[in-house]
Amino acid sequence: MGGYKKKKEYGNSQLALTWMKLKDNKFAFISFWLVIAVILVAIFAPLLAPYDYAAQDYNNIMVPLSLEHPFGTDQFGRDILSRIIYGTRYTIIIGFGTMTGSCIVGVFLGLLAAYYPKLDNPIMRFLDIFANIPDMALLMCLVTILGTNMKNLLICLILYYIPGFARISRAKVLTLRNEEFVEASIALGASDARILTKHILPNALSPLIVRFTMSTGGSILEAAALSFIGLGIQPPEPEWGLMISQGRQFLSTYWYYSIIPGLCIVFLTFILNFLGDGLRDALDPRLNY
Amino acid sequence: MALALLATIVFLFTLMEFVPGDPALVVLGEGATEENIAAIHKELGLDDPYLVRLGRYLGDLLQGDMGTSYKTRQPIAPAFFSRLPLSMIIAFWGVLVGTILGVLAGIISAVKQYSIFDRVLTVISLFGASAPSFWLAMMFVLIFSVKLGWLPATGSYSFKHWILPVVTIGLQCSASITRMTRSSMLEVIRQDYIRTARAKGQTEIRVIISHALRNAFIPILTQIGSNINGYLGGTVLVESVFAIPGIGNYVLDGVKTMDTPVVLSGIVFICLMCSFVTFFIDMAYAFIDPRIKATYGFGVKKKKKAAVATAKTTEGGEG
Repeated sequence: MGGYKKKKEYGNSQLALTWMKLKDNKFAFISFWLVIAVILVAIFAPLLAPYDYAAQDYNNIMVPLSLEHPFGTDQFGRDILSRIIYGTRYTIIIGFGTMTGSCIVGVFLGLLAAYYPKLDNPIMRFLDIFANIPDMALLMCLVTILGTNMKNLLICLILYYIPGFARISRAKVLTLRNEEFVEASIALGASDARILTKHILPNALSPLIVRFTMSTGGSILEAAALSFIGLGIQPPEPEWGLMISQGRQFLSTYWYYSIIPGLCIVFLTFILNFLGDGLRDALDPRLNY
Repeated sequence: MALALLATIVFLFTLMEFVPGDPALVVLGEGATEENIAAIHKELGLDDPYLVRLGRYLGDLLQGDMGTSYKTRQPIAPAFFSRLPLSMIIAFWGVLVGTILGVLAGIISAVKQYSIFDRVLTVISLFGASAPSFWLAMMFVLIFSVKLGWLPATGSYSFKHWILPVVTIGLQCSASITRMTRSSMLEVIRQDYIRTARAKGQTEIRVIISHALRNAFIPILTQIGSNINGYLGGTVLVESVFAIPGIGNYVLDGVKTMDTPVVLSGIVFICLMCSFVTFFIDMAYAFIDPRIKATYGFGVKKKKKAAVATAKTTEGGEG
């Protein structure tokens, strides 16, 4: 709890204040560094992985946990540890790529809807249709149309997450639109684009950041789920959900094959959720927006 | 609601227009002759303009005809409805188990905030929200079917087969409900009327149940509703792990074989059920919150209604 009493609360930027509060929350702070570590693992996968993720070695099929193969090998003799390390790349790209894409589109639509009352109804009603369809149903429907590969999986998930971002940014902008500083900049003759990007958007950021972190975990789960039922990333790529699915037939004998990728998903989603919780507390003390 | 549903159906129908490939090839398989393809086009009415087909689809849907599968050439409705009860049973019991567990855990962690219970339950619920349901299902299979041999791993013939799928969905579902109950209860529990209830000597359990929980229940109910909606379409993961022939697997097979009528009608029906659930949840608000009831005028006499309306305006809207 200490820290903030010694330092002055004023005179710091929003960013510095958030950072200080995040530091006070131990679990969230640890989670933050763990997320950074996972991203680094994804970037430096070729250096960290002990074996080539696609190299098949038929002399070492289904090796149990050992020193040479810490997580064992699969039915083609591929090292599971290396596949998991390479799998972080897919997971990180899907998680953050989806969120970045849908955040940009969603916020754009949300800003338009909130700032131009004429566009409000058409945009939001159209997005409501998307939001009405349950997640797996919508995703399966989109996969039917687009086909199964990495790019299409990203597109599907981006489309799925757009309404959430649009709704949050719209709600926030609607309250900001009537603030005095917006009125002041209208009086000064600023253009709409300038008001939206320079005055409104920076003030609407905090709920978006929280949503971004929380939904990253969600999108990782959805992507793994789609890969698991065969509609996402296709073999032989080392994606975690796909690895669980492949390990399923060996569940009774080689349990570690599907447990380990599952634990990785749980771990990554868990720290992302913790970080999201911490960020929410740090960004908004009153917890309501 | 009806309009939103219609818009959703039209939207889905339009989306399905963009499915690549010729449906006739799905019907006939590879190596079909030109004549056969033309005959199928005529039979299915694929050459008609978009609006005509949309109109025909909506008309058929109103009469309970969900179309014909491309693969099996059988009507979809009987196949779909024979699989529906199983999915409904699992989703319903799963959400019920999840609600009971979630609300209990949420109350405990809100009442004993920052205690060891609270921390443990928070970590468990975060874990439940972070674990993929199919993986959780496989872990249950590993423990209870493979290692201990207590319960069957796959199939859907008896009560015993339903336990693992229901527990899987229940645990996953309880995670979000626990979190919602906790935060909602924490907001309510500091209110003045809770202090008043305690001051007048009400027993602690009644304070929590009938004063705090009832006031905190609206957001929890919303969360339950969104969970039901999610699981109506989302049991596909659990169904595929436990090899349950439910609607999720039916639609999934449709997706894999490019059987667009199956996918379209399946998802349209799931959306239909979701709108009903949303409707009933909205109705249930009125039973929990008398203020909402008053605005709709259930069982309130006309005189009182006016009084309530004025009281509301002075009160400053609903809480």
